[in-house]
Amino acid sequence: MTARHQESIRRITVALDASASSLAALEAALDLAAQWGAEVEGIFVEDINLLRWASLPFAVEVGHVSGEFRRSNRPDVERQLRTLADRAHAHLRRAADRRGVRASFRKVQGNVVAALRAALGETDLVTIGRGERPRTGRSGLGSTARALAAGRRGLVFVISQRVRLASPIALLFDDSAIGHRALMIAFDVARRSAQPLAIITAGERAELPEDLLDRAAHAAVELRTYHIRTDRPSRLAAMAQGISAGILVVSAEQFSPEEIEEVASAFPGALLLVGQPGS
Amino acid sequence: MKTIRELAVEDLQFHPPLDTSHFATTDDIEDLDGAVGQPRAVAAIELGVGMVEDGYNIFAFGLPGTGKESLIREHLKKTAKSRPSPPDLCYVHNFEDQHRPRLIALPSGAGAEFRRTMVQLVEELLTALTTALDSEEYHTRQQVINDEFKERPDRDLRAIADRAKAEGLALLRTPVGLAFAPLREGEVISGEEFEQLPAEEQDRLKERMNAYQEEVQRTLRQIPKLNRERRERLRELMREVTSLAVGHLMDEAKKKYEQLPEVVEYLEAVRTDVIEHAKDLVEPEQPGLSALLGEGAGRPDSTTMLKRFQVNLLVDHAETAGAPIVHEDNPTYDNLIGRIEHLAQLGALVTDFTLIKAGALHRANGGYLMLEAHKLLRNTFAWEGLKRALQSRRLRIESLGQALSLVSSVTLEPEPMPLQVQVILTGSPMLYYLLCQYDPDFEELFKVGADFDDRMDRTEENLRHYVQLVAKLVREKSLMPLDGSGIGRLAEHSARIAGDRRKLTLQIATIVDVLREANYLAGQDGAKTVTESHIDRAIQGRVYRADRLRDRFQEEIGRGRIMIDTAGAVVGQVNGMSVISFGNFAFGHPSRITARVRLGQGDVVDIEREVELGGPIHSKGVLILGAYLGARYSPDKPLSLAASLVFEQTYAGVEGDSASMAELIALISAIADVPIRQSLAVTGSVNQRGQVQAVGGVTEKIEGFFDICLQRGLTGAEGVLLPTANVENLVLRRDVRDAIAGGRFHIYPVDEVDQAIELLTNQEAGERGTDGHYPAGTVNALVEARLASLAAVRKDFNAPAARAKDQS
Repeated sequence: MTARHQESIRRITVALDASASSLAALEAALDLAAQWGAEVEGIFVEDINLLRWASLPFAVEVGHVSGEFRRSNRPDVERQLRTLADRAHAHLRRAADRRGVRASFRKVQGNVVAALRAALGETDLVTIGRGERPRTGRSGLGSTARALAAGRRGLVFVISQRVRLASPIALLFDDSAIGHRALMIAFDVARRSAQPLAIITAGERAELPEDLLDRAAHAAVELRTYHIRTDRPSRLAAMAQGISAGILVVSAEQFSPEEIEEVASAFPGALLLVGQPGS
Repeated sequence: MKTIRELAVEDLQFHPPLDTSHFATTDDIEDLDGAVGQPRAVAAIELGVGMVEDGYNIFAFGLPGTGKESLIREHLKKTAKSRPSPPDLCYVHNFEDQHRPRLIALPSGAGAEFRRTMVQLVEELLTALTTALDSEEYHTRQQVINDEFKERPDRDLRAIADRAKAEGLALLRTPVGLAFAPLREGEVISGEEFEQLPAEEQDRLKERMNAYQEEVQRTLRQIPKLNRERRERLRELMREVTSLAVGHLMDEAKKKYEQLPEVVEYLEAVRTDVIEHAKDLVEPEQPGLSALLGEGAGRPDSTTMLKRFQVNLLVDHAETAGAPIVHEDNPTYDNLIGRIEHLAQLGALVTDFTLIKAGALHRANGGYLMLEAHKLLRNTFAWEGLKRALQSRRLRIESLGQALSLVSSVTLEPEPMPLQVQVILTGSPMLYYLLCQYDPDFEELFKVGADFDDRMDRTEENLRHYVQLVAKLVREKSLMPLDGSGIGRLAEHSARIAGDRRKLTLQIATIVDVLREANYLAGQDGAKTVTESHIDRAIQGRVYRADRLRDRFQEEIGRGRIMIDTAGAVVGQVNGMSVISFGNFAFGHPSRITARVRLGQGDVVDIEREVELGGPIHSKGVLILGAYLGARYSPDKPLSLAASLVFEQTYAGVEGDSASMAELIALISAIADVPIRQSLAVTGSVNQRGQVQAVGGVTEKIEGFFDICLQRGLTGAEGVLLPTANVENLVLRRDVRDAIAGGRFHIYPVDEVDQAIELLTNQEAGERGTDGHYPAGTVNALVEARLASLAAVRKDFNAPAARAKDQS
């Protein structure tokens, strides 16, 4: 079998909310953009549901850190969102300048998931933080990341705060069209970042493209292949962690949203979810 | 005339003579076993070294160069050999209080092995810990705990969100918290939409939102507790895993030191610490900042962590045989007591127990510490520090700032060391007596004073010892051997340094210097043996290098600028003799002393005293003269003269009474109008009875006058008068002795003033006869007559005044 799909990432959209995980996502997006020669767009979504809630006369929130009840209102929330947006924008500008990456910033109002899904149709890669809870340190997926993963469209790069991009790239390979697309993308990421590519297959041995070895040799990409009998997502993810991978490339169709959640819980690095191309 | 026997050259011989017949050179002579000429000091040292009770420290005092240190060291070496070596001393980290490092004593020489053991143990512990904490089992169990605790609140929140969603409520994340809002078709409803809801529905939703908010609140408030529980579970897991990993290594180490409870206790503390801080040991943080901030401020880096297990071997006695003998050449406070050094880190000074440095007292503990008193006293607070340590018998390392409470910054307070040391101070007698006088602690702490003599009797036994001493010095200093003539000349020089023909100097340093210089000269000559000639040249060389001022004096006298007559006879003028000392060189020269008399009320004016150039002893001598004159020549009449005495052409102070005989002769000459022979010079003091008493510096004085006479040409009339009691002090130069032997220079020992009068005036002094009068024509008769005449004149002067008084 031969697959010669040449991916091109020219535009990366990164979802910003000034949280630690979103800023980590921004850094990773800029690193990738520098490798691919892409431009980065930061998008800050003012959640319309949040603004509606803040307009309610009885809006009360429970403080994350204090656990105390606090009355809230729309001006307060708008001010908070503005502050977060400004902070995210400033961070984007500084980090992009440092790397010499072209970057823009956009603030939109609406539903977060809808806004990012819309962005998926306009961009080559959406980068998003995992949404780790600051107090629990939980490492699964946040609701936005879960929703995007469930969409199985485009390329979604889910970044954890502990990601180490300068590490081997791991791929959970399946012999589907999306699986092959994931392979090509993983290959390119490995080539551009000069990292080894570890291909993990599970269950029935999947067949790798015939010319993969030649291409790897030509592109000076170090290939490593692993096979395990179980196809339990958490075991596959644990294996990726065992080989010290920094990025795990997964076909979005290979696993259900719950399984992707399981993979995310077991793998502390960055997840690159490869879905169907286009919107 | 009185009979005065002039000294013959034979009278100037040394007695007993030095026997050099039994050896050719010093190579034939055996080493001296023990000290020579210091029986008193040796007895004191033996007592001091033998006593182990507190306060029996030794102060050895004597002139410089009397061999104090070498004699003490010799004795200490003998005693130290038979005493056990003291323990090695180590400072280790105190895991309970890092500011108070612990002191551990190990058997002598075992400290280095303990240090190696700890280095090896820590390496092995790290390997074992790394393996244990990298194990699949540990990671899996750690993951299980983390997952259990991390997922619980998230799971709870999700469950709440799901239930709320079922009731038409959304859980929203606000920028700073969580909130609930009613939903319609998946979107939060607006305020207007909410207002349009039936009142019951509004109330229900509000009530449900409140309920869910409280649930969220409870969940969030559980998080800190859960985190605490999680950390405790992780710590427990860590303890379990690390205990297993390090247990056998620690057990082995403890078994090795089971005889030393202090070490076992320390190792147990190490085990506890390793288990408590295993993660920090194997996963070090960025070094630097935490080291600066200290343990309390954050997680320490690995270097800081591992340093805690080091052993600071403060005192290592591996190479010490017996008790240590330590000589501290620079006894500063820190060098004695020890110090705590600091390192600069990020602009601040930091320290730890590895930077504790031993002082001389640490190294000498269990043995002996030798110090030079003047250096000790010159160093600020060193003496106080030493006394405090000796009094408390504990050595506490603290900076001067701490000791004086001048600084209160956080620093180390190392555990004090029990102190059992004997201190031997060496110094001058003046220092010893000053300390006795002014320091109330001194005699309590230094009960033994070892008094070193600077000379010894010239007995046959001591001469043998002297030869042995020279032979030993020659060998010790790797010098050429001396032949008999060389030793003879050296013994003569020793007598001269001692200032007595019946003594030999014990200023060994000076003897060594002469030996070295003679050795050099012999080497220049290509000789194989040092002879009298080399010793003589060495001595002359030493004199030549020092005698520029003497030459200047002699030149001034020779050119007549300082007036000294050495021929003829003059009334009221006599040649006295003075000594000038500077450094270790002294020389004599004649001084003209003159006296003038006139009618007066019995005052003898010392012009030196009047102008404050005369010292108190000199003034005392002059006052004695007045008393002598009055009592001897005018016992029943007022002494009716006014006399003045002066040392001519002296421009600096005059001290001592050695010129009082010369001054008396000048006075008598002036009163009697009898001229004095200028070819003679006089030294000696007189008492109120006219007896002549011994004075100092006679050798130099005679040589000084001799040199002036020689310069002008000896006629055979020149000579000196000196007290008979000083004859044994004469160790004259060879040229002076030769002149005496040839009758060209004379030395007259005198016991009473009349002898001097006769010698200096060539007239009979005269004894008071049974008639109460001196024989006519004698000097004393002339004196008495002149004084009687002055008394009569004075009476006449006073008569009109007496009459006027009677009439009134």
